[in-house]
Amino acid sequence: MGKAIVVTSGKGGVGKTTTTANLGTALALMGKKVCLVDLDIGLRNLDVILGLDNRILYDIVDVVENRAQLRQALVKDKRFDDLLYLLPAAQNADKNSLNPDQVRAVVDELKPDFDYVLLDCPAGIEQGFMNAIAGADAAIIVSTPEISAIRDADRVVGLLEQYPLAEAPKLVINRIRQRMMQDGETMDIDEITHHLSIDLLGIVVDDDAVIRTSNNGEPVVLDPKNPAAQGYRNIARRIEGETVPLMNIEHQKVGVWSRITSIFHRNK
Amino acid sequence: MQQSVVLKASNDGYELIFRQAASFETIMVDLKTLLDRLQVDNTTNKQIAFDISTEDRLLTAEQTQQVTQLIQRYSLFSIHKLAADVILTADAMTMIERDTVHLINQIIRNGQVVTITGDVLFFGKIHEGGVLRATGSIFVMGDVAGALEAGYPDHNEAVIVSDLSTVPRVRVGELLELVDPAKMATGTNVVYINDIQALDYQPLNQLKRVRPKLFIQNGGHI
Repeated sequence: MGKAIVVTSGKGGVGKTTTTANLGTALALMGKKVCLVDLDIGLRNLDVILGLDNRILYDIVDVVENRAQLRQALVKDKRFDDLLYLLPAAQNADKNSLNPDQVRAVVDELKPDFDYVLLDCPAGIEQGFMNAIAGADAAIIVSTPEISAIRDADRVVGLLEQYPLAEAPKLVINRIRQRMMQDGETMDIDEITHHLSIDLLGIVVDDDAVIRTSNNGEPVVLDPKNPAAQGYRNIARRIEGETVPLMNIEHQKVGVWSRITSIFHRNK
Repeated sequence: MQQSVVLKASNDGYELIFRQAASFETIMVDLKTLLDRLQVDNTTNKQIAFDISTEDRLLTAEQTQQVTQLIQRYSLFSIHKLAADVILTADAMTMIERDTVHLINQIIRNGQVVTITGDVLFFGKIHEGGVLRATGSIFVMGDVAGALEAGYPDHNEAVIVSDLSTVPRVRVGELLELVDPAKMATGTNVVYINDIQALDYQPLNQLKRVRPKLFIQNGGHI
């Protein structure tokens, strides 16, 4: 029986969908069978980040309204030999097209066939959020080091205390700008974790490649050398129960020679 | 056999005692007999208001109505007070809740409102956007970055005892305001409603002066 994990944040734009795509991919790379469920009804884009947007026939609303079987709606990611699937969101519906019982039923149907079911939660704390947490056993709260994102994450942790899941929520701090954090311009990892008083699952640095790769429909986690990818891979390993030390995010000061060589690299 | 209804006279007037060992039906029969006899004996035409004690028995609303109706049939008699020596468990629990200082050690997060009946001694954390609301007073030993509301909704005698340096908003009774740094003392403050019905702040050492009643317990001074 698999485990359903909801990826949520409260605030929009902190990287829930990117995190869902990359963690799902990282778990698939580790040989786990994963299903990603896009619950952002009306504004789906998990399919775009995975490069699966041209292969959608049916969506989750078709499934709950019995227009399609669950397995007909699942989109297989061919890069991962039967390990990674996506259940897309509907584009021509809204969050009220689903209710928590329907989502729970879909997730319960998926769990026996997968090791992990990752639920991509929409922004906000309304119906879409309630739907997403209904089927989940655990939650990953994604926040950036911005105060507004941390406040919203705090709100979401409070709501999860009100509707407790089987496991306590865990925190992922996303889009860390090393230099700003080091200079004290944003809260640091310890401050954020202490403030929210929940366990830290992992950190992901801000990297241009995240946007570049998602534009190409290839999650950044596929590049093992990329620092953001390493962050996601570490989180996936921790989800699997491994003990992985927190990656060093100290900003390296760029020397004169590095700058000169980087100019040549750029011009290549 | 012991009577089910006992009539006692004192300086305060007449008291009717419904013995708890007797059934309500027996009491009603005996009460009628007693009142009939009293009416005959009452030659002065003086009005009598009874204090009724039901001992360790709580009458239901229906039973109370039956007793009231029976007594109202006699023009000279009325009920001054109807009381029992006991109260409902639920009422007792409410009283305990109201009169207890609750020790709270939890995180109140953004958007959460924790409401407590009675006084609160708070050891936890209130995050920005969280609200701790008590019907009584609030005494804070933890970290507060959210709002404190004491005496909610209208108990104006309540106080807030807290360091206010990180508290954005306070409410006592019906008055609320954004914390005014100009009024704030260093360290722990007492927020209360003063004689001119305005929110005022005092240093902690003034607590006994502004609310002496906080330090008086049942039975007198300690």
